Amino acid sequence: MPQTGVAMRHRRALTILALCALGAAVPAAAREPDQKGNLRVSFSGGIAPKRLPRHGAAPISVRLGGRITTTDGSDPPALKRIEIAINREGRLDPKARPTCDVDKIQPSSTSYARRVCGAARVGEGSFSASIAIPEQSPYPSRGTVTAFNGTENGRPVVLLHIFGAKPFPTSFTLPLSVSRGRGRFGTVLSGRLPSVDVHVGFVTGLSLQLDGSGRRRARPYLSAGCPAPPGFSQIPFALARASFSFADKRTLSSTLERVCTARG
Amino acid sequence: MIRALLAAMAVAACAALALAPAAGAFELEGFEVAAKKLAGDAETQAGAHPYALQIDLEADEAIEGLRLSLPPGLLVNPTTVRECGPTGFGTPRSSPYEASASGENCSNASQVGVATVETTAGTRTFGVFNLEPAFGSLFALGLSPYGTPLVLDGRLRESDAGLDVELTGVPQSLGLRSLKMTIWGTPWWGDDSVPPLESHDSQRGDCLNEQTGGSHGSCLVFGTSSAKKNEIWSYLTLPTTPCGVRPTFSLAATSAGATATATDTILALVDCNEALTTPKVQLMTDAAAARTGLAFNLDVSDGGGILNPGGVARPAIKTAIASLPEGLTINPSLAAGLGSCGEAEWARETATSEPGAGCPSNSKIGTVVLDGTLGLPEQLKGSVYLATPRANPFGTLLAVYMLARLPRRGLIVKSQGKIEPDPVTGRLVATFDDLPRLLYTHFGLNLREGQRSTLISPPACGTYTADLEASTWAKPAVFVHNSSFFLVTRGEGTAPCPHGALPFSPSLLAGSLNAAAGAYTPFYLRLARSGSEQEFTSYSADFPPGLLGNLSGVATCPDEAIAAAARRSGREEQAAPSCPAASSIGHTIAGYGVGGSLAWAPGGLYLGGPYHGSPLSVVAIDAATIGPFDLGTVVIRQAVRIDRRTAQVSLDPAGSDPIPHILEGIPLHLSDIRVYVDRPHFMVNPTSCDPMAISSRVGGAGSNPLSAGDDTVTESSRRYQVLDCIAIGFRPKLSIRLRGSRKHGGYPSLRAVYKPRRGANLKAVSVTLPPSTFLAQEHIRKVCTKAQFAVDNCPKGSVYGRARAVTPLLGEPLSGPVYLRSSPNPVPDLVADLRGRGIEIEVPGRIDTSRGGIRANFESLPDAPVTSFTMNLFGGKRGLLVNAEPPCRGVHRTNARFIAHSNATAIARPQLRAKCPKRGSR
Repeated sequence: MPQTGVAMRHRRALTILALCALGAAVPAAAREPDQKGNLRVSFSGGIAPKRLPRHGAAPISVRLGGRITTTDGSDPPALKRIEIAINREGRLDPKARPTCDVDKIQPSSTSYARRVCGAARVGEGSFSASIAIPEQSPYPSRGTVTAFNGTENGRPVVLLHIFGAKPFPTSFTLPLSVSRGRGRFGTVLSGRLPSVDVHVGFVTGLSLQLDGSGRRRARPYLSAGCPAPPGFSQIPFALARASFSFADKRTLSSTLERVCTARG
Repeated sequence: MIRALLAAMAVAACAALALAPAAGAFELEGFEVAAKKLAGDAETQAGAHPYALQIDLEADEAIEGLRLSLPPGLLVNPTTVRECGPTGFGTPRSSPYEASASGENCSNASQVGVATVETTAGTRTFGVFNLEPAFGSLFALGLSPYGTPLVLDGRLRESDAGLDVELTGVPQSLGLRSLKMTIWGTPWWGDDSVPPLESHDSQRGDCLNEQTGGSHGSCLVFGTSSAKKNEIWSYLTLPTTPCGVRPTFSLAATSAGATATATDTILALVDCNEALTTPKVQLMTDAAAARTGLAFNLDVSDGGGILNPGGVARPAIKTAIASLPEGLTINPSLAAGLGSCGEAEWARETATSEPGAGCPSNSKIGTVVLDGTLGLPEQLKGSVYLATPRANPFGTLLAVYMLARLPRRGLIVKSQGKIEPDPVTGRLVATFDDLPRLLYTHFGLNLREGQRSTLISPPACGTYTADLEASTWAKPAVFVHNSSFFLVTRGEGTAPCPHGALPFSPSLLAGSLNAAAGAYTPFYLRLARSGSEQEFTSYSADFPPGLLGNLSGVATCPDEAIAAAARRSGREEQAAPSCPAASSIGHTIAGYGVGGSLAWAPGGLYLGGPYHGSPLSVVAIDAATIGPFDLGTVVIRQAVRIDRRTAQVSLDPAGSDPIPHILEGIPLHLSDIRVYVDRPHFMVNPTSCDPMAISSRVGGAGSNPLSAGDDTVTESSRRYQVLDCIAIGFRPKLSIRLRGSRKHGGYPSLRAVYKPRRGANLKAVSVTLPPSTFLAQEHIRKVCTKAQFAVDNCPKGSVYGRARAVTPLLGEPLSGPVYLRSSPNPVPDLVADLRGRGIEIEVPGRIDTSRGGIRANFESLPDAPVTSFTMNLFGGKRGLLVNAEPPCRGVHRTNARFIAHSNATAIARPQLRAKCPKRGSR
């Protein structure tokens, strides 16, 4: 998504969302599952703070999480592509942070990546995966995810640096390109996992919190408002939509509906 | 004067020529022999005692000597009548009836015939007497015509057991031209009450009318009385065989240096007695599996025979075949110190030869006695000698010479026999053929007992049968079968009587002679069993880990040499071992036999090449040479298995030759095996002082060594422990270096070198790389499965490096690829597959993580000395490691923890070095 598009949209109030408000009936941490066949994807997320200015925007942090399972306990197919579309009232400002090159942090440990690209850090989280090595039983692995503001071919990306220490130290950095969306979702983060991942395992869960506050920074990396119509203190809105495409051609999507509280 | 002398000499010479008989003119004008009955007709009953044997000879010149050869089997029984001593024979007879011309005055009881002598003094008949023979003569006949003593000396002819009668020294002056001699078959025939017709009383003593050969009256045997019936025995016995063949008498007479010969026969003998014998075989012991001798007694019915005037002698035994029961076998320890008798030595054995003049005394294995030989009351005694193996008349391994003799009478009975052990069962079959045609009533043979006994009794209690087949000279092809039984009723010593399965609990002694950890040492192993236990059939063992052989500088004995050794004789092998000295690693001593006195045979121990799938083998080549016996060689080759993980040495039970039970039909009764691995600087001790064991599996033959069905295996464990582990110390040293790419994200190669300075062998090491180095998971394309690894079929892509180990125990380094191999751990194992000199060693490393770094854990490493161990992991596209941080930025240390087999530990933090540019050039 071009930065200009995002900037244009961040000023727009969430009026339409307010019209469709469902109030507090939707729990903030609820998961939105989707299932095709035996493959099931649960998507979760939220924003903080929930109280946002009715006019204008304030820095926010967005927490997103996904979990891939199968109903029959078999190994899920390899994840080929991930796409996260964020509500168009949200604003992602890559220029608000320095950028980091993928070569600087891949491969590396989390501590090393944060040491060399700490200024570009825009979020963190965790992952779970199943490490697959030829002739070996898959091994469940957990690790940290660190998101860095970066560029790839001159275009903004979010670098998801994934590091796991067990069963052996390894890291993987997934560039999520930032592109412009359509309709309700103005910002799309998408990334294609390299085919090598098919051999090394499969992701079973990912959680990420993008931090827009920027700690004493003038420009928030991520900001949003809650354009509730006058007389409404809360409005529902589609926070994000996640799509997961797998190697077996199945694509599962889920949309997160959340509520914000207007301030002012 | 001179002329007169010459003329006189010429006349004298001519006179002498005229008196001397022409050369070759001496001839026998008559030679007749007849065996007669009382009625005067011929006696043709074989084995009978003729009324008289008439021998008439006549020559055209004065006889000076003669030799009369009687046919084999014609016996003279000299002790059945009294002997005339020198005094009686030398005193002129004074007859009351006429003036006697006989120079003897022998008693009536010693007269055995009459002889009519034609001499220059006329023709006259004289008595023939049974003289006291000279030493070495069987008998002597004497007459003294006109006071000239003529002694006919009777000797046994060794060649065919016939008798030769020899007359020598007849004075020319006697002018003996004719001799008609009648020998009475039963000189004492008659009774004092009613003189029977067969009585010779009318020709005996003074009653003999010398002038006419007639009688002056009746002279009883004892002057005034006849012999009692129970004292009457026959003096002559006709041959018992061959039936239907005319026995031949040969005569050679000499006169004035010339010899004339003649032969004559008597009528063919008929109605041969075929009566045979009662054999009896007796063991010296009744204990099972014990050293024993053997008593063989043959009691012979003489058919009423040799001496009974009315009886007919049975024929002599020609062939005897004795089959001893299965289980009664040769005692190998017999051979220790045993000599053998060669054919030439055997030929030197005569009736009067001194002990040792013929067969050496150390070749004696038994004794022989003969009773009733020729009706003699004296016993013939002799020995059984071992004939030189293979250099004997039969060409067999086992053969014996038997002799019994009576020197005083010049009697010797010699026979030779072969003993053929069944090549499978070891059952002994002794065959004696062409036995002397001598008659006897008892044959006794005793084979040696005691510590060096000849035999070993059967291994279990029970009844055993010995068989004897015998044929006579009468019908050589017709064999009579007899059996004899003996019992084995108890175990050896205090052991219970063995029945069914034999016990088997062999003792094992084994260990290093130098108990210092890590030291070179001779190694000793002894396996022993008692005689009552099962025979050994196999041996295999697992030796303690770390007890290894130093193969550096040790050659392997070629397969061809090992095969050649199996074909050689023991002496050849002893003189020039088949395997090269460079392959010798020790020696063996094998004890054969039972009981405390075994026969020991030395052997060599060699290192062999691959065998039954194992990279090495141990070859024991024993010369089965004990005393005079050479049974060839015993070659036992055992595959040496070396555990890929621990380098533990085992003798592979599936790849080892069985221990032979029998060689050429001789059960070895292998009771004691001693192995000395004593090549200098060959065996090396472990560096672990933990208690360990030498575990052996010993195969037993069960009750029946011929059947594998009842074989048993017993396991025996011997504690093994070395000492002074602390003293040997432990100083490991490790260096690790990255090569190739030094970029962040690059794939460097890694070289790790372990070089211990001294001390105990490394048991385990864990090496943790710094967090700056990641495992390049993206490069793990291929992993070798365990199944593939086991059959050496790992895919090429599963190779991620190479390793090399240098050990002083091998003449060449071990080297090989480093694989990623599937494992139950989360990460594949990193395995170095090392090979050298056919030996395969696997060094597996378990990969995990520690404090953010990759950790390789090499556990249970072989307790073997290593000079250096180097592992190189590939870099680049095949690199297993990736730089998670630039290696040249900062100091990155590895963590290494070492544990020695002595349980000593060490920690090191060597720097992970890389080839970095100098600071100024950055």
